Amino acid sequence: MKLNCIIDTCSCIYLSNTEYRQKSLLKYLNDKASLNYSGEVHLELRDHSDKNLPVFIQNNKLRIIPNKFSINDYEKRMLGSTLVSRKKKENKGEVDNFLISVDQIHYFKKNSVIFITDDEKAINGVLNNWLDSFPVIKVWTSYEVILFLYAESIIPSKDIALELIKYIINFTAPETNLRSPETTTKFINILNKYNKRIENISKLLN
Amino acid sequence: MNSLQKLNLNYNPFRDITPSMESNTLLWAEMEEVKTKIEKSYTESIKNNSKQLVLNWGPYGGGKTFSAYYFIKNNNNLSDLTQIYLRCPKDGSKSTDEFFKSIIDYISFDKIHLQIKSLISEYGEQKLMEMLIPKTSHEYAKAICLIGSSNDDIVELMNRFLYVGLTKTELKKLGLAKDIQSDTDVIKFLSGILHCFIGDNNIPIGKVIIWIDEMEDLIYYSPKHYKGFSQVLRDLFDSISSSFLVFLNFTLAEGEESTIELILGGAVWSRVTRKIRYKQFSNTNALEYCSQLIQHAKIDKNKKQPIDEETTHLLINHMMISNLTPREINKHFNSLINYAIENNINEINQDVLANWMKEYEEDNL
Repeated sequence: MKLNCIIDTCSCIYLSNTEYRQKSLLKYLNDKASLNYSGEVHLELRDHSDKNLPVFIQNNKLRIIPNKFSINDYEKRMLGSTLVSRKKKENKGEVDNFLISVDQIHYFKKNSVIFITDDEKAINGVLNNWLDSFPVIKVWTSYEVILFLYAESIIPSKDIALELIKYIINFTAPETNLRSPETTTKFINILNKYNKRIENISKLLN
Repeated sequence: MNSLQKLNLNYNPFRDITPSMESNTLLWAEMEEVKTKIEKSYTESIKNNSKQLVLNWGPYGGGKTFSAYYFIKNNNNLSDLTQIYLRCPKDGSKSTDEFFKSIIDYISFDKIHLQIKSLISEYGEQKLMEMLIPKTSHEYAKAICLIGSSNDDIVELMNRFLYVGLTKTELKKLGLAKDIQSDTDVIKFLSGILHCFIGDNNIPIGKVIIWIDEMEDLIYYSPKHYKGFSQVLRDLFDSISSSFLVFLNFTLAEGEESTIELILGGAVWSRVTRKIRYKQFSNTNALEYCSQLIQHAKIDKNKKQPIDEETTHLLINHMMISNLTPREINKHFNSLINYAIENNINEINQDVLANWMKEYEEDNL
């Protein structure tokens, strides 16, 4: 059975720009999961189609519309007002993906939904507290996708898994002039944390 | 009497919050264990011609860069010692080129030119070639000798050869077959240049010490670029057999050595010959650090001005334990001394400290 994933624009970009054996991690994930998203993320993916995004991920059919309420109604219930499409800093893509996830679980009664996003600002900002209220929704970043692909033996060794973690770090790292001791510490901690998790997978499954 | 003198100070000992190579008062305080270990590495390199790769690691502002500046400055008078300070290249995609040019820039082209010129004059070009060929290659040994030419036009061309490369016509004119192109070329050439400052048994010249700061920036490299740069470090280290000391400064705020191994990679890690840890200060270390710096800066060493021990202690106690690093201590005490100067205060006591704290906390909220 395939995983049900609701994926965000930035994660699509990171995963489609990280490759193993000339195939992007997004394609590997697509082999193992049903990837869907909100209408807003579909617009964002089209806006960013020049960022090495494969054609399949821009397919209109991957767009999901909520059923219990309309997306506007959901936004009003959650935030008191509707969000403006393509407006910077509104996080409409992440919010709508979250609402889609809620709808999938509690209206369509899907067993589980994995909400994939690398947008820390949204997770710690507008989605803060909301995600905790829906414990069935599992939040992944691109790093968890690598763990999953390694546990599924699609990534064949822990060295390659660690290398792919480093690729994501490199891809998401700020420009030289925006780096700080805090960002360096953050990425060192990420590498350390996921190295330990890769080791755990290796211990259990290899 | 100026404001500093009123405080019984010749200078503000905490002025350099971050170390500066140009500072006139690079004074070592506390961290005796670290100092002893670095001194030992220097001594082994200078007296025993050893080859070492030393890893210095510890928290931000813990004194690693200061150590580099301090030791470079304090050993600057040794004529047969060439010391180089550089930072880990920021852009992984250009790391080898940046590393090469940083070394050439630090030594300076003029100094390299004069060194080779003097070697040719002392030993003759043939003998220098014989020394260089096994360390670099015939082609690059020839190029290195040309850097020491007495002909200004050739020297100018060789300057361009190092930095931007030459046209085929210019290379032909100099009798050289190729430019410095690949990473392997860079290492071969750099090894040849460094051997002009090290020599061998037949031509003993001196020792080379390289400090590479901010190695933690490797975290930002893609695996492809990391492998390239790590290979460069490894090959350079392996290409020189003696009188070569490399310090890698690595900032790790928290965590263990295994994290550094993860970032440096097994190849570099396995070549590390000594690890020096810059530990977080305890309150006692911090008090000793402040007392030593203040004592050195005092005009009248017997007076308790500018600040008594109890007040110093109070400020250190007020700082979070995670902030007890030389940089954070410098930051706090520098601000306190400047506050005293601005308010025309002759002695910093607990009342002054309390007033400064109110202001400092408001400014740093």
